[in-house]
This record gives sequence, structure tokens and C-alpha cells, in this order.
Amino acid sequence: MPSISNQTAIAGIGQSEYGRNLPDSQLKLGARALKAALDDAGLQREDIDGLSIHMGWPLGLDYDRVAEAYGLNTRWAAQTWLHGRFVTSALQQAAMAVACGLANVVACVTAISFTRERQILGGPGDHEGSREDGGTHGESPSYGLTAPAGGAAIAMQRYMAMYGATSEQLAAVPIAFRKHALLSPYATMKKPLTLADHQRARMVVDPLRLFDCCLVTDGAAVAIVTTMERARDMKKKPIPIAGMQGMRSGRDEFIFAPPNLGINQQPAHSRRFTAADNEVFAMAGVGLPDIDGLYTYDAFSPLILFVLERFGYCGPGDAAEWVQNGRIELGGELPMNTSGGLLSEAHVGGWNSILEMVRQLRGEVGPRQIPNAKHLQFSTCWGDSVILGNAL
Amino acid sequence: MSDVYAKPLPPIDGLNAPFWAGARAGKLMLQRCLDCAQYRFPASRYCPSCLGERSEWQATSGQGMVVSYCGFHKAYWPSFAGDVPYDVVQVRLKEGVQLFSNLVDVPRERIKIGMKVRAHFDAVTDAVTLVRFKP
Ligand SMILES: [Zn+2]
Repeated sequence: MPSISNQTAIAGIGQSEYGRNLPDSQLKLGARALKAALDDAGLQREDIDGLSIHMGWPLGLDYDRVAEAYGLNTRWAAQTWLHGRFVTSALQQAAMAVACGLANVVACVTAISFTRERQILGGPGDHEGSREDGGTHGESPSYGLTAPAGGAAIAMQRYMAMYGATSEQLAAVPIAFRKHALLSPYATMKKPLTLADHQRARMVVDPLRLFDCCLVTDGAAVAIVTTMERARDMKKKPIPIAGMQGMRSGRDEFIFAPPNLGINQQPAHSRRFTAADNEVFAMAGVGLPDIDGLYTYDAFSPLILFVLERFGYCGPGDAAEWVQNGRIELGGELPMNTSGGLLSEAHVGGWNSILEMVRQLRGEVGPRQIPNAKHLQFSTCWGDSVILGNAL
Repeated sequence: MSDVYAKPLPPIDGLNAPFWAGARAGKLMLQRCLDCAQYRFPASRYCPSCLGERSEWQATSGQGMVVSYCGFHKAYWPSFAGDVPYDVVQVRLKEGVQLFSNLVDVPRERIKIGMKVRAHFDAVTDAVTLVRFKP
């Protein structure tokens, strides 16, 4: 079986503006992002014959409405609902579809109007969290565990008790991403963040303070995926999808905690990850030292600590210390979320970071450019990953 | 009291119905596999350990340990507005399963991971008794 490594590529990207309370509808934001992505790739909308939608019900539109509204005629569609865990899922499905010949050119579309949908984000409109077995993030509304932040906070509290990590150490994450956001023209947050600002800010769900929790914003992003062969004929330098691995699930897993930390129904034994756990590196033909930047779904700042441990950048319990002294900032050993992520740029379901990775690998980002970026990784603490390369 | 309780209530008529019926009778009931003897929560038709189909509901010790906790300072649901800040704990029962709950009459500074707790049955409406915990 031939490997899918470097057989597919991101050939074009586009976005709407990002921000709070944008006047435009989700569909309109998405249309702007799609037009920009088509223009970036040098394609016409007739060229799009597949859709990978990361926004379905209840927070968004379904694939059929998107195709109808944008005048597309597609022969393949995949759809996830709007959970951050499906970022690479949507991208991977697009890559597999074009690699298998089910589509020639797939548009990955996310369009978000979170500021219109606040009720659904952990509020009484969140029916997902009210299911008999609770929600994905541990939601258990009758006991007041009503929002995803609770799952991340419970994981972080246990992590702090086990390893001695502190809120001051955790602050290094939002502080780093704020520095990056100040260099992104698309960023919602425009002012620097200090340790004192972080510590003075109100608690949201203790031990998570205001700046440990992501922004609630509106915006749309589109990435166009096709085969490497086709992408070479398009307008911009193709960015190959070098490696990927799917999200992990099972009894050792809880979405917002490292495996085996003991949260929800997980057992409580920490373990070190091995090469077999992280086959994304082997598929991409690279090792940890080859990764020039790491991107993750930073809904809450503990998720950054957990992804670093999961992918072996540091050992279990070491991440809070590891992220200190600018290590995850531009210019540091492993810059992360270099446009500011969900914490400081915008919450576009994580796709703002995918777009940033493409721009970095094309060398388009000026003051926030990672010099000679060759491989960038998107991963989450629930174990999925995509490594993008740099075709020369 | 059921007409004044504004907070969300759990679905009590699904697979976990015996858990909620037990709570109403002051017992912490758990489903136990008759093939491999493992307890499980939440309820399921098949045993996650051995896929066995045979199970029964048993009254348990109601004893457990706090594994972690968090403190809600934001009321995501209006009905919790009068309670913030309030704490949510995760308890590991002696029988091995874990659940989210609250401690009764324990201020935050006295919550410790590892503290031993026992079930406390809190009849919040005529139909629903929540399982909370006390030291
Ligand atoms: Zn069994």
C-alpha cells in the first residue's frame, strides 16, 4: 500500500476578517473565505468537487446548504460538527479523498459566528452536554459542571497536584500567544499581556483564569486540498501534507487531559509515549528536532502543556517548566501558535492556525516568520496530528 | 419543591434509571458485570472490560476519594448565578468508577485531592435525588 505522505497538498487558503460581533452571517463570512482561497490557488469555483465541512449542526451549516449557497457542484462531502477535535480530521478526510480519487479538489470550510451562539457554548442551549452520559468534556450539568472549561480545569487541578505546576507557570502560554497575536494583522487581541495581568484577571473556572480561556469570536477560513501533482500547476507553492495520524479514543482517553491522568473514566497511571504512539513522525520521515513549530487547538492553556507531553517534546509532568523563558515563543526552541491561536488571534475552530502554518511554510508572514521553516506540526492533546512540509 | 428547582436535572429514565431510583432510596447503586465482576459507570448494555452481557445493579459502599476538583466562578447557566463561586469534584468510588459531583458544606480551601468522602443523598425535587458527597 503506497503511503499518502506528500501525495496531497494545501494549494490555497483564504479567510474572512476575524472578530467579535461581526455584522455578517456565517454564510457570508464563509463566502469571503472561499473566494479568497480560490483566488489564492488560482482556481474557479467549478474546480471544487469536494467539501470537507468543519462546522455542522448545531453551531453551523451543513455541507448541502454550503454547496447550494456557494453554487458548488460537488461529488464528495464529509462533515464534522464544530468541535476543535475535528480540525485535522476534516483536513485528513480531504487529503484521503483526493488521494483515493473520490474528488480532485476539496475545499475545507469552517465558518463561525460564536458571538451569536453564546447560549450553545456551555449554556442551557448545549444539549450535547445534557445527554444521559454527559458531554464530551465531562459536562454534568446537574452538578454544575456545565461548560467545557470545567473539564480542562479539573484536569489542570489534578495535574497541578501531581506535578506541582502553578498558575504562574501556566501564564507563560497565553503570554507567548499574545506576543504572537501582536504580530498578526488578523488578531482580535491588540494589547500585550503580562504575568501580573494574567494573575490579576478573574477566575473563570478555578484554576483557569480569564486569559487561560480562548476567545469567543466570529470568522471563516478555507483551505483547498488537492493532489501534490495538481497542486504543482496552481498559483502558489503547494504545501505538502507530509504526515498524519488520527485522534485517539478509548478508556485511557479524555479529550482535555493527558491519557491516564485519571480524569472522567480514565485510569490513573502516567506513561511515556513511544514512537508507536506517534506514527505521524515516521510517516513524514522526520523526528522531533525537525519540527520548526507546533500548533494546537488552544481552547484552554493547559491543552498546550498536555500536547507537548503527548508528542514527546517533554516528559510527563515537565511541560509547565518546559514552556518557561520564551521556549514556545517566536525565536524560542519551539514556537507555538505563531499567529496567536484561539487564545489571542481568534477562535476559528483552529483553522486560523492551519492557515498560519501554510503562510509560514510559504514564507509570507514577515515579522513573525520562523526562519527556514521546513516542517510544522499541528497536534492536539487527544492525539491527532498533521505535519505539513515545505516542497522545494 | 419541584416547581421551584430551576437547575438542570439529569435524565433519570434511561439506562441509568436504577442509579437514580437507588439515590432516591438513599443507596448508591452501581451496575456490576456478572461475568468479570467489574463495576461500571455510566451504565451500559455490555461490560467495557469483558463485553459480557449479564449484569446486575448492586448497592455499594458509597465511599470514595476526591480525585480532582474545579471552581466555577462563571455561571454558564442562569440558574447557577446565585451559587458562584461553587466547586465541582470528581470522586473515585471504592468500587473503582469515577463520577462528577459536589461536596456538601466543605469550603474550597478544605478540599484536598485524596480526601475520603461518602455519599450524601440530596433530594432536589420530588423525582430527582442527586448524589453528593460529605467528608
Ligand atoms: Zn465484564
